[in-house]
Amino acid sequence: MCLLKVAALSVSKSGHALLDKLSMQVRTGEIHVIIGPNGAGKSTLINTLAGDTSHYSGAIELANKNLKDACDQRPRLLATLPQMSLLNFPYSVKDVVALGRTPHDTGLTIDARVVSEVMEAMDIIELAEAKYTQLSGGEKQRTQLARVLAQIWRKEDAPQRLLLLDEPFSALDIGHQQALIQTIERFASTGVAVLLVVHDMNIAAKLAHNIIVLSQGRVAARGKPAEVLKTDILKDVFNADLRVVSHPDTEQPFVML
Amino acid sequence: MTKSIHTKAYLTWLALAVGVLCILVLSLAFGAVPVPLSEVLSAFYQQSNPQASTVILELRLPRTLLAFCVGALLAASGAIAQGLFRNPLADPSLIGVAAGASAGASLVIVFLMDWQWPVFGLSLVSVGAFVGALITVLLIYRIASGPMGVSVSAMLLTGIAISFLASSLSGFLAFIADNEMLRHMSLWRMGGLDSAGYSHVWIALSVCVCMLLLLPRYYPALNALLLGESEARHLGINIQHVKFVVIFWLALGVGTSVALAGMVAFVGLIVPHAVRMLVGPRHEVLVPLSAVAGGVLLVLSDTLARTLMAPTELPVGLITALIGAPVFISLLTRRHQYGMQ
Repeated sequence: MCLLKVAALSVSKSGHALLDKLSMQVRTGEIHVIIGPNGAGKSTLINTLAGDTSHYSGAIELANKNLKDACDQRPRLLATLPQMSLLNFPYSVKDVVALGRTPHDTGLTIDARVVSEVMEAMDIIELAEAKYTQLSGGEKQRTQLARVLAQIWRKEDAPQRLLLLDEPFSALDIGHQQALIQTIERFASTGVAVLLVVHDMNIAAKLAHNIIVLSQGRVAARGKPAEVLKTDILKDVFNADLRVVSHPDTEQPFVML
Repeated sequence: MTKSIHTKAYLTWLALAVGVLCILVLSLAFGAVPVPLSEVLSAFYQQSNPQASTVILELRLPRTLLAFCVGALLAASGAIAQGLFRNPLADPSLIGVAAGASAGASLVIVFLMDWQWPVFGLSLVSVGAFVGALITVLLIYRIASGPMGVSVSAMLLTGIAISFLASSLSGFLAFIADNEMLRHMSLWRMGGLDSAGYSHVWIALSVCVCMLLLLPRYYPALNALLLGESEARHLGINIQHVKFVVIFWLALGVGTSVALAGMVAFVGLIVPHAVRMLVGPRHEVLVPLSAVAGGVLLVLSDTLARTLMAPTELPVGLITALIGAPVFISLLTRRHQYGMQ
């Protein structure tokens, strides 16, 4: 079932096109990864889909409704992790995660269960009472991830759910990267559509059902990891001297500098 | 587990209520004429000592109650201001409310000194201060509103600009004022509760009660707002509505307290800040506790102001600054323990 339909989406800021006629469709259970160089429009896409701006042309349909009309239900089916967090108040980790339940009135018992489940998934149980402001960068990122997951954790709250993540792996160590990959895959298998921006192309290769390469606001390439992660495409888009080989075990593409 | 937390919260509030009551009663005993504690209590139900009863019931009780309400208003306003601006050091005076009120009061002192008719038992100076505060907030809100909604940083900066404008107006008024006006203006700016009457108490109390009863439905929104504006929007918070409501109560709370007690420094900044360090930033706990702590701080300060140089009374704003600044500095030096950078 098609959860997100984007048709000819263009966003411009002071005459400069950030996104140019982008179209895409995301079905339930699918994981779409967006890669691209700095300033390609990746975060603009995420923010526009999250409803941060109404200044765009083209059509965005979320669960068969125009994004602009679906304001009331949106918080229950769409959760977004922004690239940066501005939180500088000494909430406990648990309080931050519990804020993800703000759109729901499911009651204290269910909320507490969701909070403990997502904290376990993000490996922050031990940090539950720690002050957010005293965490390391990776711990903060895992806390914010847990908050975003808590927002759309339960199938019962909304049958169709979309998760937008802007560089969720950027501050994580390799162990937590792997754990997050598994969490996202498990989450997607419960019917959640996931759209995420990633810089590490090997994570993209491992995680994505579908990769979109953005460059200067346009789609430079799209398709399955094996179709997109090719030496000539990536060299061209990123202007980097790299090589794509085959992973010795999985035969997935593996990008080396 | 939940039950034990409820019991704990209940006991904390009970202990707090008893403590507050003790402080209120104690503050009645101190002043230019010391009244023994036994007579303080008996003044309420039997008129054994008419002089003491008059002092307690007509002078000290309204003053103590007003001090408590004004302190509560200032601290609660400070708490929601810090939440709205996502800045633990924000203060209502930062958005120019206090400066606007001060300019309004100065205008009345200089130009309408001879008009002494009271409005609802308030002096004209108080009305001037309240109007000054309201005009400032409206002005700032209009200037900082753009097509994308109210920008918080634009509001802070506008507040600073308006503060300068209002202080230059006050300065000009001080320049053309005569000696008596000048003294009146500077005393008003230092804050004082000496004109307290029951009409003042009723005004402050009703604003305070309305604020603490009507604001709680916005606490979840304020909690989410601390994450950042777009994060709060993603969580389904109607940001513009919340901003409007919070700014309305901010103006009303600060405007009322400035009108009734003049400029009382530091309570709005220091109390919520200190309370947040102790109980965390969740507004359900922070706002009511700040209100109680602010009330207690102002009652204690006023008691000191009345007794330190008795029979002369010091302006209460001097005392709050004197208590507030060292506490604030000591909290800042230990900020890492409380999760501040």
